This record gives sequence, structure tokens and C-alpha cells, in this order.
Amino acid sequence: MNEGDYMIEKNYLEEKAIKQIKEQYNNNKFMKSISLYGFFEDVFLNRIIDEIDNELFEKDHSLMTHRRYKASFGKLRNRVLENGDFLKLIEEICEIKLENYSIHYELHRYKIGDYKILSDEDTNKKGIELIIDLTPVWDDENGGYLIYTNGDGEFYEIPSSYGSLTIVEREKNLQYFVKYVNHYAKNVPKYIFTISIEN
Amino acid sequence: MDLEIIISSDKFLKWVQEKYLNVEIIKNYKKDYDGSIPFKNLSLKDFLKNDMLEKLIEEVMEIDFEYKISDLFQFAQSQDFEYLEYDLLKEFKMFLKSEEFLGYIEYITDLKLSKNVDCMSSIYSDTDYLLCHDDELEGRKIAFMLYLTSLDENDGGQLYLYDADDDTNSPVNIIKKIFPNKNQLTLFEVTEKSFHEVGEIISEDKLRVSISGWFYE
Repeated sequence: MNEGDYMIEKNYLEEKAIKQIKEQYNNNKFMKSISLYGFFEDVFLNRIIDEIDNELFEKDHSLMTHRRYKASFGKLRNRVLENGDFLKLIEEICEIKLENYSIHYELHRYKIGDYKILSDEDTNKKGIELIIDLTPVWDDENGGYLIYTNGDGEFYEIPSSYGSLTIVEREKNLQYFVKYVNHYAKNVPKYIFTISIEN
Repeated sequence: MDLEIIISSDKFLKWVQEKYLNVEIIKNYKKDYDGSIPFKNLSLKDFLKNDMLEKLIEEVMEIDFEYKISDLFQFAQSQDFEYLEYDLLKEFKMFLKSEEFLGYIEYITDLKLSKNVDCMSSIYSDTDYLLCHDDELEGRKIAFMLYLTSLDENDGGQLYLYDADDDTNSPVNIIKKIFPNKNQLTLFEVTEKSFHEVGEIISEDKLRVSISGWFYE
């Protein structure tokens, strides 16, 4: 058995499921998007969490837009983007050919006092955004969750859920912020891995 | 307007504590303001007469506040006092935009101010915050806040003033922490570098209540 065999929860790979996911993705009125809960297998997630512990995080503070730590975490990027099932799923849902896009990825760690606010620089990015929630235990009362906004004062919340994959089609003026992490988070960090697929 | 006339006006005698009705003392505060870092700021403790302050607090606690949440902040805020049906709050706003009070602030800050003044109240409770920003908006010259409650380090809610990187024009380090102190009037000059933040409230039961707003050119 190779690693790819236990990465994605099998139910998500059935053709019928993919069809339904694609339908839901396209029918989301706020933005083309879908959150797939329990998307990754536990065995896979356990390994990823162990690897996060060995990642070297660096300060990523630009106070007018964000305060957090970051790591490149290429291992996770390689695992998901070299997995045939994963690529097929994304290409089918989003109706794209990944080879035609450039891909950026980063792991962000948010602790008490950290945040990401909306930024003028992010408003024109187009493409697909993949968000992988890698926080085993998290209460959204502590902040740290993602909220997409479309520039018209409307918001769409992405609740925290360990092992979930959220797929979003980025349109002009659509971007997310990460709610300020408040003191109830204590010492627990929130980990968010993002993959941006851009034209 | 002459400073002597300002501080002997009925309005000042009604609202402001006697210790601030002294030209020499005001001159010293002006020096403090001019020499302050990381950008021009000044805090005047026990500013209003106690009876007026208590009456203001009474009315403020009756206002309907709207809870506001965005990427940048989370707190409750009232409408501008001008639009509220509370006599004393309206009178306080009229005092702030009176020739006398504007003259007082103009003397300290060396700025020319108009009668355009924003004045509202805000309440920060547990986990509320206002992230780092510069307050800049066309015409805004001076930001002010009058604290109606006191908080200490264990409660959060401090006003942090940042210095700025000259090249990138972005905030770098917290240079000054101003603790909310009941009846303290705090002012700072709004510029493209007046980076400041209200720290998260970390107390379950204490509130950071203030009256705040801006003076415009």
C-alpha cells in the first residue's frame, strides 16, 4: 500500500460523491466553494501533525495586515499535489487543468493575538484557493476561523474542522480574513495550510 | 481665542476641573504634547468635574449600543451623540465643538480645527479589541478618548502607540501603553504614522467604556 491509498477518506473518491460535491460547489450562491469535512484520513493527519512539530516557523508580522508565524511545509504540498486522486478531484470539481496554473502554498500558525485582516493587495487575485485545517482541537469561540468577504459587506464563515478541505474559487474582491485569536485559546495554536492556484 | 478667556468661560467652569484652568499648567501640557513619542499625544488625568462625569456615565449607560465585528475590530459602539436623545450627551458634544474647547485644543496642538467633531461612546467587553491602524481619514486631525472606566494590566484594553518604519511607513514596536483611567482625556495627532491599537480585553467582568471621536481641520 502506498501513502496515497490512505490519504483521502474513501467516500470522497466515489464518482457519485464527486458529482454531488461539484454540484454543491457550483451552487453556493455566495462564492463557488465547498468544505469537505473529514476529508483526510486519520492516519495521514497523524503523520502530518507529527511533521508540523519539526517545521521551522518564522515570524510573519506585518501588523497592518497580519500577525502570525509561517512555514513553507513543502512536504504537505508534495503529498497532496502528487496524489493522483487529489489532483483528479480538484480538476474535476473546479474544471481546471492544474498544469496551467502556478501554485503557492504556506502553513500558518495563529496563536493568541494573531490575525489576518483584509488587504488591498489581495483583492485582485483570481484562481482556486485550497484550505486545509490542521488543528486537532479548536473552539471557534476563540477566533482563528476564516471568514470570506465579497467586498459588498457580505460575509461567509468557514468553521474550523480538523482534517477538512475547503475549496474556493477566487473572484475579484473575494478574500478571507482570519478572526483575531482571543485569550481563551490559551497556548493552543491554530494551523491553516493554504494552497493558492493562480492563473 | 485668548486662553485666559477660554478657561474663565462658563462652559469650562461647568465641565473642566479647576487644575486645568491655569495658563501656566496648560503651557506645560503643551510642552509635554510637543515632546511626546512615538507621535504627539497627551493624557490629562481627572479632566472633567466629577459631578459632570458621573452624570455623563449615567446617560452613557442608558444608550443602545450596536455590537460591531469586522476583520479589524470587535466592540460595541453608540451613534454620534448628536443623534441621540440624551440632553447631557448632546450638551457634552456641544461643549467639545464650542469655540472655547476647540481653542483649548488648538492651543495645545497648534492645529486649526473646525466645528466638525465626531463624538460617540464605545464599550469593550471580554475578548473585544481594535487592531493596529492609523485612524487616517480626510480632514481628521486629533483623536480623543475620555475614559469612563479604569482598567489595569490584568484586564487588557490598553491603548498601544507604535513607532513607524520611515521607509515602509508601517508600524514596528509598541512604544507607549496608555491604561484606561476613569476621567482621563487622551489626545493624539492623527497622521499617516499614528499607528495604534486597543489591546484585547482579558477580563470576564470589567468593561472598557469611553467617549471618543475626532476633531477635524
